Amino acid sequence: MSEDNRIIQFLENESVDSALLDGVREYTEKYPVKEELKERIPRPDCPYYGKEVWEKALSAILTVKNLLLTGPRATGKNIFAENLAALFERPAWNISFHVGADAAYILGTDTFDGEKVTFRPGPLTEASEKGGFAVLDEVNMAKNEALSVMHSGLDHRRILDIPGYRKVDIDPASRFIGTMNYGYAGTREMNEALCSRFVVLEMPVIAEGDMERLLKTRFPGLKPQMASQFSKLFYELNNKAENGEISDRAPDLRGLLDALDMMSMGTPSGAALDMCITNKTFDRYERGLVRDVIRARIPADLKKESIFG
Amino acid sequence: MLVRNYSGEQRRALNIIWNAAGDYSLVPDFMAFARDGSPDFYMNTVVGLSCKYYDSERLRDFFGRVSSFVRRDEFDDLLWLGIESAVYQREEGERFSLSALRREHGEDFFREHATFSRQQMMLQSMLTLNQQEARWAFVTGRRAPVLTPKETRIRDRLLFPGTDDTDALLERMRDFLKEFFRADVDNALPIRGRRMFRRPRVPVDRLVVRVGGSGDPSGRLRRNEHGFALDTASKNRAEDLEFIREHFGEAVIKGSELEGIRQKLITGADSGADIYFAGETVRSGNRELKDAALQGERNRAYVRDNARFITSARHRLASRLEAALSDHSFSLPEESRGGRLEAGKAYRLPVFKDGRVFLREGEEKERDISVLLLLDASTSRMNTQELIAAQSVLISGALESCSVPTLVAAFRSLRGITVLQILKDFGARDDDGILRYFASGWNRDSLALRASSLLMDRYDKKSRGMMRKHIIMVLTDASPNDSVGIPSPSGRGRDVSYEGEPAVRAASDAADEVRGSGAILNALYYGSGANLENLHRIYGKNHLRIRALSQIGLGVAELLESSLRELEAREGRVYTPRRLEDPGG
Repeated sequence: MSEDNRIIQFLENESVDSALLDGVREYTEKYPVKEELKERIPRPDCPYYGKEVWEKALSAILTVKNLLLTGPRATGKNIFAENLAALFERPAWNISFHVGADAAYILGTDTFDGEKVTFRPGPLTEASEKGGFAVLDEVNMAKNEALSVMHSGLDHRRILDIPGYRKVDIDPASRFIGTMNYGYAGTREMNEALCSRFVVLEMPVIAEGDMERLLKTRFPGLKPQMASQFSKLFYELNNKAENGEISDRAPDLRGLLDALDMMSMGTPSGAALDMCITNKTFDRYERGLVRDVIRARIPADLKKESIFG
Repeated sequence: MLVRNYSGEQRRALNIIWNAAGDYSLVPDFMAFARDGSPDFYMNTVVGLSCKYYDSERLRDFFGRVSSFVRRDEFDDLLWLGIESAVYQREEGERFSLSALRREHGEDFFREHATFSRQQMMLQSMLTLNQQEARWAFVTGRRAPVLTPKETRIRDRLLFPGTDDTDALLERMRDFLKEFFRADVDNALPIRGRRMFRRPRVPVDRLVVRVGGSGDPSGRLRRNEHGFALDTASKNRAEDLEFIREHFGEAVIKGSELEGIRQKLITGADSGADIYFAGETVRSGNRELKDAALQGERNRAYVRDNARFITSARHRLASRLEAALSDHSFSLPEESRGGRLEAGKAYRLPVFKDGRVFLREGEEKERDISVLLLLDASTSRMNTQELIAAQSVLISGALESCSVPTLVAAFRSLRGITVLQILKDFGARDDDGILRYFASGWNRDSLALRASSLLMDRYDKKSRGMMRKHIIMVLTDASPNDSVGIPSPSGRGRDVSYEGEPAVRAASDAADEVRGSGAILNALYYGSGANLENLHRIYGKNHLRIRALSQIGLGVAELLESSLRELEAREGRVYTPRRLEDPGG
């Protein structure tokens, strides 16, 4: 394991089960990553906070399970997937699923190199051959027929049989991590065959204390009082969305972090929050409700000096 | 449980209260409004915070008792000044913006105060006004008003501390009223009900005036001795149907097919009503239809006057829809020099040096989506007829230009018969039918929704499944009303009027049924905030509120995009549209 693996240091500080962390060390020693693939190892902006989630996920990955991270927006599914690849020091291939995703998109496609027809491997094939982590982002956006090509790779056979190419044995270091939102427009029920090939980890909405720590990590200069106010603002918007008064676009963690980024560059709080949160809702009435929640927490004319120390 | 029918501004006030309280199940007894009817942000926050820090049920009981005093409004205002002081102290450290909001509220008080006329001043309680002035002068750093010794004592006593729990707060308020006004709350009788610090001046634009409309030749609404409209459905159905036929022409669905549909639709909450599917043509001749023709002229003139705007809006909408459809429809494959190899043609590479042996996604799209634009054509749309006609022309034009088959239909209920009138059929090129749109009668949303779903299934069957993905987009004011009531479930009790909560519930059930059949149902709402609650109940999140014609483009595109995503999402499930039984066997 590389000495500068900050994630494992972070997990030690979080008191994550030491047996699991020993397992991670064994794994990284057993499967060293090739030099040319090191640039594919993610470098997450911030660690994922949540000891329980970490322990469950480590246990699944160390026992060669495919992990499906489920939950609503702003639960940090992608950040966590990045964190996992960084912890295990694996090159990662991110595969964004959409309704048009098909076998060619996932596995690869034929092409003509000027002399002959050749196979250009897709991201899943590459991750499988090179011992990477394949992050199947929004896996339930794709049609089930398209996903069925992955079945043999995800179950005990651990092979991908690509017609006209060859059988790809999945590298023992490779893992598949799916993420999915359920209940959103555009998402679909995952079929039983695929679902049974994953262990499902439900990601909770970030806890209030962890949220403040996340803000402080991302923005070290953020005043503690302001970290608390922005954190509470997020939960108030989330509460309003959960109660159906506004759509779920407003409680957007990414939007909040973006707004703080802008404030750190000198944009007044009102304008930054408008651009990154309020204006993401279309309905003018709903925008008024979102603006009211913000107004009750954060004055619109706050300058950088009042927010960052 | 109370039926909550809030106007838009009331709902906003409620949201401010809920947010401060952190409790969305709360039904507060107090809301605060400014003179222009907009919510008083700070005082609603105070109301919410009072529920956060104190037992709201006990506060409610206390103020219920205060209601029995003649000077209750004065007492309310004074006590809330006290509560304001207490919750401010408790929340100040928790909520960064609270002191700024408090100062802002104080400044607003003085700004408003400066514009008071002599008559407005005379209507105010001077005691309350002086106390408010003293409080907000302190908050904003102004010079304090001159108070009498008693008023000074009241001012000081109203600085409730933030350390009280509910018991201590109630005790403090009880003592305050007893000491200064000799009002004994313990011996007062409680009165419940929501109160406003200031009554909101929100215009209620929900038109409930139903005077027969053009469908009733008499021009009057028949009423029984209780003032309710008579259930005309059962009196003489043949005569009523003949009346509908006279005005709307021959039915497009009749005979055994209609009977089959009636058996499915005329059930449950709609079992006292009837259904009639009318075509595009409307007969002319009598006075009411001359009025309808006149409205048609107005619609044409409106569309003509706004032609430039409508055309550009239609183009913008069409381009956005095109983008959405390209994401969510299937491209037909076409030959190319890269992509998926067509094994059967591979020999052409070496033999003919023909590189076009691959298949890639072509530009031609396969779309099996159809849209029904369903217009509420009841009297409540009387003031927006031209606008609705123009909206419909715009939307249907944009959809057709994206090759999405679109049907435009209107619904209204006359003499207990819901008439579903086709204004523009699939494939029709002109907008004449839409431009003949006029408002009259009632709207039985539950029956209309269910009938529209069956109508779409019928078209699907005719097209041999080519239009199996249905999107039903309703232009509505979310205020169902009909003259024919809802029969009691037992068949023995009195009918319930088809209005208010029962009608909304029936419409909501019908919407569930439509969604259950596989169609995507959503609503474009053009109306006041008065019916937002109904809108939420019937259409859930699948609705969009528009306030001006200029919002149509973005709004429809947004709704349609979410509908397309939902349709795609369902593809993974077993999806079998409900079909009508073939009357021919």
